[in-house]
Amino acid sequence: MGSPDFSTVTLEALRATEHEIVCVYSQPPRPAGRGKADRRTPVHLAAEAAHLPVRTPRTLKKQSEQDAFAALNVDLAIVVAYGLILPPPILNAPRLGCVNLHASLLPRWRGAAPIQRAIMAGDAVSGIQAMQMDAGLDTGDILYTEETPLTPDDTAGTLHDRLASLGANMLPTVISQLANGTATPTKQSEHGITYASKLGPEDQKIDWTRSAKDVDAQIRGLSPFPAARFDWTPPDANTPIRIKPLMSSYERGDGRPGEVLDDNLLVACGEGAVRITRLQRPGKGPMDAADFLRGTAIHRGQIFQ
Amino acid sequence: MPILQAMAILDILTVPDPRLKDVSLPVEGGVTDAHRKLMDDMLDTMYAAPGIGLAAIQVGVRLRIIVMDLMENDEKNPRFFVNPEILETIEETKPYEEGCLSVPDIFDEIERPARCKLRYLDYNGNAVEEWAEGLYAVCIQHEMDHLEGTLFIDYLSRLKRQRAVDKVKKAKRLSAAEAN
Repeated sequence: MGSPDFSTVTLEALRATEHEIVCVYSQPPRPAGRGKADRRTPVHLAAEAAHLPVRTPRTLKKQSEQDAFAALNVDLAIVVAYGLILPPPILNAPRLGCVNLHASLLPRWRGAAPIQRAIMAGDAVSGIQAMQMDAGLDTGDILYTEETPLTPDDTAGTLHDRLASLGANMLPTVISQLANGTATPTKQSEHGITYASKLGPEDQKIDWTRSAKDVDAQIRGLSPFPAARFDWTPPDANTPIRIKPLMSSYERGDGRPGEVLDDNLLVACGEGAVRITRLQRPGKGPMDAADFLRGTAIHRGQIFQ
Repeated sequence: MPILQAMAILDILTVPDPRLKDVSLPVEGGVTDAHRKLMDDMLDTMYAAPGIGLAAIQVGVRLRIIVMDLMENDEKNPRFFVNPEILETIEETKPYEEGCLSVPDIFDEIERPARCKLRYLDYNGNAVEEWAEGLYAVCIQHEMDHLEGTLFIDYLSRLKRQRAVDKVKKAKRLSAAEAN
């Protein structure tokens, strides 16, 4: 069970094992892209390419869907970024239950956006865990953990790719341990629980009065999607343009929050300054700051909102 | 397999438990780890029930704390409320068929303001002000009634209310007899 690219990596890893994939569940095709034609999920496409049976129910709350799942009579369900709630009849149908790959070190960052929240909070380490699912929000017992340190160059994008491949690598071990009864389910700690609440527009807007460390973490944590944002009004224009910074670092620097401190996009924050090294402007693709500055001069002393 | 045992699930009080009539007390001195632990356990309890909202008094804790997850778009996205207040409501009202984990299997239509402005502290103790509408507005008003000792069946006629309480009592007696 999965939907985005993250789960496609897992599906490929599963196909490489000796286990039989009975059925692939994915979110139904939804309108997307230009023209808003119905588009199948990456997992759906990968499953079709591999000639695996695919099911795309809108919800698993219906009795008929629960019966259809139970009728598959599977040993195990692997759930990775599926995006539908699994009610108890689904969780209990497979002989060995449902195992979820979760992209954080639980109980930190239970919920919807663990990868982004870990970077935004400036965590030093992240990881991916295999968890025996229960009815709660990422509350199940942990079966396997792979940690990875976070670097100042990490974005949500790089961490996502790294965790997807770590998860895919550990999956065969997790499955064989469950199959031969050597798995060691460990209860999650009752301490250090945090929730990775869904990202909203209020998470994207940069508040330049925060510390440079926080703003840098926000920019990298939201990159490449949905991206942090701020407004800049060019000196010869009345309307601001919305800029999405995609990569940054932080250094020392003094100025009013939002003030540009040099000709290379060093921006003063509440404490210290952030250097923006990659960005996107409306209607254009992502570009390095150096390329952007060749076409659009932003000089020292200007103010970002 | 231990599939449904990992969570901390608390007992939910049902009518006519007199504690459900208590007025809950404000959380003093900010949101602490003890409050967060309570909210974690309330959340587990709510998902296991399953329900979309739970007030602390429903698990016997007399504090102005609420957890909620409307599970819109078939996605889990929990919300936490400490010391919630309704700052204003609009005049327009909307009916909604409400239920309650403390009055199991009873549903009836209740009319409430369609939008309300809230102020509360979140899980991390940050102050939030926002407008609620739709199911969010229904649910937060229902849960905030619990903080005053009011249940949704209190808005029904005396006859309907008594019938609801009797039904819950009878169901409880039956399930207790089954367990023995």
